[in-house]
Amino acid sequence: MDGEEQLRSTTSQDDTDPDGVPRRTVLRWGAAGTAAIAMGGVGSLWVPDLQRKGLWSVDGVFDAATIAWADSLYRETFPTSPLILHPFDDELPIPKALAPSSDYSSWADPPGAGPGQQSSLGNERHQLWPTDPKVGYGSPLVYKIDLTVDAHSFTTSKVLPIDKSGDRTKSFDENGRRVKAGPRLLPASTIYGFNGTFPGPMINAEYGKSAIVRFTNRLDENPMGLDRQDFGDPEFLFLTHLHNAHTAPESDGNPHYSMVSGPKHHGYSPGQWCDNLYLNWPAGGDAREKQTFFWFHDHTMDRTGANVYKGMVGLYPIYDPVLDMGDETNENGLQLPGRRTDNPDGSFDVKYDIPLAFYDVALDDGVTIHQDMHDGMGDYPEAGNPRTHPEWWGKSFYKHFPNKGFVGDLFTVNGTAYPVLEVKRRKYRFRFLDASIARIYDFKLMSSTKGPKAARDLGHSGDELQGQYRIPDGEQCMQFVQIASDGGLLPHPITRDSFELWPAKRREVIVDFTRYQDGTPTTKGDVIYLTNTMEMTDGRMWDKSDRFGDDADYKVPMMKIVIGDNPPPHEPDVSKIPTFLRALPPVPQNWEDLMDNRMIFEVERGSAGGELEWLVNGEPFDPENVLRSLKNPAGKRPLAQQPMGSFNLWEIRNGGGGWVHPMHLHMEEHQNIMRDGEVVLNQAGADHPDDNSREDVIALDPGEDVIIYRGFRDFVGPYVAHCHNLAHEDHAMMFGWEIT
Amino acid sequence: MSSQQTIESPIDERYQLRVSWRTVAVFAVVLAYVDGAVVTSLQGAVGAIERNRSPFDRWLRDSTLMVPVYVGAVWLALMVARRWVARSEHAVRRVGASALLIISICSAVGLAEVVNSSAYDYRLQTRHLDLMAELNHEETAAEEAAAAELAGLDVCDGVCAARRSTLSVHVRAAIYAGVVLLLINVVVVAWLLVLRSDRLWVRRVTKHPTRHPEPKHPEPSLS
Repeated sequence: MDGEEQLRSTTSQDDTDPDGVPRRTVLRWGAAGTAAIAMGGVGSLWVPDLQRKGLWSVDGVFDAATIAWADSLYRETFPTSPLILHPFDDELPIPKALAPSSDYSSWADPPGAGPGQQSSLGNERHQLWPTDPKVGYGSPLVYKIDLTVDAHSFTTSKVLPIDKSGDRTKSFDENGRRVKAGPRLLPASTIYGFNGTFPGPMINAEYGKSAIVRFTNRLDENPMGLDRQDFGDPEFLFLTHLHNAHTAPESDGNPHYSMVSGPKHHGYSPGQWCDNLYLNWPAGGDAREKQTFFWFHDHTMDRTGANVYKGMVGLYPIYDPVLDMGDETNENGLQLPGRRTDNPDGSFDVKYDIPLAFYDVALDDGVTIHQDMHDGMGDYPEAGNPRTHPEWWGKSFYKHFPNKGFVGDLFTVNGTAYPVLEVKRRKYRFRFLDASIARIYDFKLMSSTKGPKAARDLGHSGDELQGQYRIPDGEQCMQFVQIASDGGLLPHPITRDSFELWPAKRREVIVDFTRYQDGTPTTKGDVIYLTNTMEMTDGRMWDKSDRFGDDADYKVPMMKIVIGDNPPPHEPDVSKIPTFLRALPPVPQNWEDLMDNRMIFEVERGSAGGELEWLVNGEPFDPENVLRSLKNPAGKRPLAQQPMGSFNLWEIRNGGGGWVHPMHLHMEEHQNIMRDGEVVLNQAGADHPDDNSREDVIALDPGEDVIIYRGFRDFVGPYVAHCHNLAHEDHAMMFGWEIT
Repeated sequence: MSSQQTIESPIDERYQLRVSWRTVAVFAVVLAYVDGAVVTSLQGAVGAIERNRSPFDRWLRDSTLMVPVYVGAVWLALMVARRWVARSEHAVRRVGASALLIISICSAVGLAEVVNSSAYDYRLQTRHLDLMAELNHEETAAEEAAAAELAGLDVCDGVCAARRSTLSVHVRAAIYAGVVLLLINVVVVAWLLVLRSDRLWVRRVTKHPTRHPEPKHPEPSLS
């Protein structure tokens, strides 16, 4: 058998012990065992985290690895804001209602319904006028708001410059000269504001009384010679959107309109004005579509985030003379908390009814490099980026295109960091608005015996310093009664221990300051903290959330509420918490018949220009065209066009894990029909108890998809839908749609 | 096994060694899929969005297509190792050198995969940047370059700057990927060697070899 081959594996005599296990077998089993232990360890450590982030799937595991790659490749740092040394000293600013103009008829170009009267460009007119028979209102009130450059202080407290470790560090003066470590005053930040304030004016509006707001661009003027820094629209454009009023496209303030009509540009230029007509008329004339709380903010194409962050925020509560007139003494209405005063100038204020606009900001530390892709696009060449800007120490810092999303480490309410509010022992109505770029909040009312402690004094550092203060011994002491969401009054109030608030979402609650949740009465001097319990160290999604049963130690007090006197005898609390508020518009029983032909939009993450970017159905925002839907069950890919007067199902999908997206659709409210394949119509789940309401911002968890039902009534023309993480919106997560 | 083992001359022994195809297959498949996971996840972070969808399916498909390449790579590594160190009497040296060669060559294959993917992505992304510039009524890269040339300037902003930025990210990604592939392949190859504990080669033994009286030597282990 010469040449015949035998394949043998041999073992050395040394390897074999007649009475023992071969060494190789031991090694094999050892390797297998090590692998099993490693897998088990990885599983117990990572699987829960992946599940929470919507990444526990075959694609999700890859997404998780992708996120880890992105974190290492897209390097960026953010400054540590100086520590507010005396929090909860500044009173909460409560805006007064803006008065309408009384002299508009003497303006060179007064508002009107005629051709060319919608803006200074003379090329548009209002589609509907309040006196049109369809609306049936009288002439509108007219307001005047100028976009101006001004200065804003987030606090009057002295501050302590600190570094990422929480240790005191140097700072700089306005000339960039070094200042020794130690307490000092915070310089004012430059803002682009409505009437030069942040937040801007509050217009108390009413259904039945339309309003025209003339927005005039004066951003080219800088009478105080303020340093504009390196963010905000470089051409000083503006485009104001009233979120989320039922408005014609020429007054809606959306870039799909502005690029094809009107200014035919990203926004209105300095010197130009536009008259945004807010009919204050419910969609379809249906009283069930009435809403309660809008806000107006900038929407300039590609610069919305920068302009909103720079201050273009205003408030617009809207009252209903039938049910919710702001007067708790009127027994014809719901008697929700509020005492109305009609002012001689045509405005009205409502006591005990307080808007709360939440906004997080990062303040420059003078040593963090300013760098993002817009530097290369010549936005602010005089800034000379990339470089540090010690001369901007203590002023608001913005990174236009952060890959992890933008969050600030200093939390403000109505433009003030850590304010205090004294309340009477009675019920209050609070209108919560998240005006942040990306941060999501989770609110609770807590008491604390030891009071706030600086995070750095508790041993925190780095991202854990965000929010600056904690109440480690905080315990929930009161509950909220939610009465409204984005779309207005709920059918029934919902008692809640806490609630999340995503960017651009609104929630209204009643809080009874006469007693704690255990029934014991409050006393004068008691302190309650409005506390944020959601840790979110970057704009991607939360790190820890009560919804997922996470760490209960993250308690950041944002506003201190001090119990004051009883209401005065001449102004007792006669408000009520009704059991029924407002019916929802009906969803047809046969809504499932619309499922096959629904529109489908998927939001996704991509990469270009050296940074992450954000797309819908794989496409960036095309301001001149409408998007095409993904293929629906009927096999079609319809254009995002809806006939006027129609209703439809739209599906919005979060196409990947690891990120959340607050998706906003202009012009009408919607109702949630299905979430992740489960019907939620009339059966809201525990995670989203106010799903049975109307809203205009869909809070999309990682990998989630939601089917909504909404109408497309009363106006024709171009609108948009987009992510309200404004960094995403500015980097293409938006699509045009239209009513035909 | 007979203790009276026939020992051929060293020269005869070298020519008797063959690559173990089972070993090659095991290493190639595992490394193709492990390296493929690195390539796929990296593409999601820096690549064109058109290719980002369904990463699991893409990983499965692309890694399967790469298996023959990895078979070739592992076979090459073992052939080179056989030439260099198979005669060595030290098992650690033989195994170590073989492992290093497998790791190096397969990591190079993985890196080549990364570079190829990045090049394709870069092409897609620069087209996308020009499209966005057109949509925003801005100058495309070609228009910017032409304008700069006319003005006699060496300026790179707008789309040009975005392209450079994109390229810079891809270069950085490739460098990081090279390091990660190397480290991962070290772990995977070491683990496979221990787990399998097979020979990297097999030896041909003839039935009626030439007999020579020999001292009793322990049989060298070739695994």
